Amino acid sequence: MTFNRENICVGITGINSCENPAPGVGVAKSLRSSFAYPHRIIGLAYDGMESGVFLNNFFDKICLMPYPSSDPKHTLARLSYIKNKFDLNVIIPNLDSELLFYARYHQQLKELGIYLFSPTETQLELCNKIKLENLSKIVDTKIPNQEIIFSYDQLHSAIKKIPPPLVIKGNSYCCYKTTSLQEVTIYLNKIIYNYGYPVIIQDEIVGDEINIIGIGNGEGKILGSACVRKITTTGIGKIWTGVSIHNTKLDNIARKFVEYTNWRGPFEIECIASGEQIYLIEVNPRFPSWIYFSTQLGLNLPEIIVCNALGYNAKNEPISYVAGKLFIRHIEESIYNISDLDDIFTQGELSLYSENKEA
Amino acid sequence: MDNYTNLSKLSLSNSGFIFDKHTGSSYFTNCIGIEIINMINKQYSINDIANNIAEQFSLDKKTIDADLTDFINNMRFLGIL
Repeated sequence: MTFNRENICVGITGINSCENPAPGVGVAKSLRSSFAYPHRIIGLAYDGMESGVFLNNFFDKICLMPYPSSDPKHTLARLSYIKNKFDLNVIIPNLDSELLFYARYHQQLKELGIYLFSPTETQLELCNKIKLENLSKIVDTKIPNQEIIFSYDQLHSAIKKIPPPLVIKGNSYCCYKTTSLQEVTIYLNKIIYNYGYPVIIQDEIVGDEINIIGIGNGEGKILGSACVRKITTTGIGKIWTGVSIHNTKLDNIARKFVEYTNWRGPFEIECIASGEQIYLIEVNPRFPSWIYFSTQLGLNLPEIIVCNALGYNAKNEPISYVAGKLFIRHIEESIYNISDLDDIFTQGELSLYSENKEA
Repeated sequence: MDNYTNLSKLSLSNSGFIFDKHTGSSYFTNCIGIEIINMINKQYSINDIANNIAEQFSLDKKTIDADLTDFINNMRFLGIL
């Protein structure tokens, strides 16, 4: 395949930057700051009110997509339309709920001329939170005691084995720390209302939350990684401030994970360090919302994804970064006209720069 | 003094800000704390450190011995040493 390197078009999903931010805006910022290849960036939104829809600094174009739960043929048809109209070359999927689609339809998309560098269906299955114990054996580290519940009736027996304080989480989204049975019940209802079963109940491990993000090359090697310690988090456990660290234990966990799984694409491994012991909390088969931090550290991981998706020779040497860089998230308000909603809601498309109307 | 490998992962500023590159933890100490850590890094014995501090700051050696033990125990507790 040949591409005009000056005009690569990348589609990015997960562009809602709300109180539970998706990674898409950070991925777009990273590609915008890339000097290696100029990119046209299309934000693939599931709703016209996703905040990234209005970020004209980072997106040239916004296209609405069918929801991840839709019939795959609708999503394929929509992507085919976007490919034909805007010459989309690469997609970086950033939401757990859509990764299975991209794993299953990888080949069909390739035939359309849309390339990915994301995990396979088998690899995604390994990251299922209810199979964390298997993964912990692979990376040779402990996990917190946990119970998986598939119905309300199982809650009480789970609570007997793991009394509060505990952590309750959905299989794909949401995680709450709870200190009483009353709180457990409230959050259980909240999780099953939004995401259904299974629900995971885990011992609360007291310690430092440390994460490593990186990219596997699909052949057992890491193409770049960075470790971060969360200093403060929001009420739902999202990072608010963090610091870059060099942690050999985390590096080893990531190395074993990528070697064993021949991981292809981005990953984030979340752990808690309690004294000398590291507990594996979960593995996310995508970038985290703070991906732009790693770009600022000198590791433009989204750019590596684009290069590998298109078959360019991305750097294979580990890239070093500095420990001790501080990450602080800010809230920022932007003002728009209500008429700005017109195109996105009526046409399903929005050109964010007037000169890019045909982007 | 023992060879404290943990110290090699610390970044120490002149103003007393200590950053652990491995865990991401940060600490503050005063000018005497900086002196002590620098001397530990140079493999001084506890007795040598105490003598040095007593001389530099014109302090009673007995008091320094007790404070130095506290300081080092505290560093061990925090996982710095």
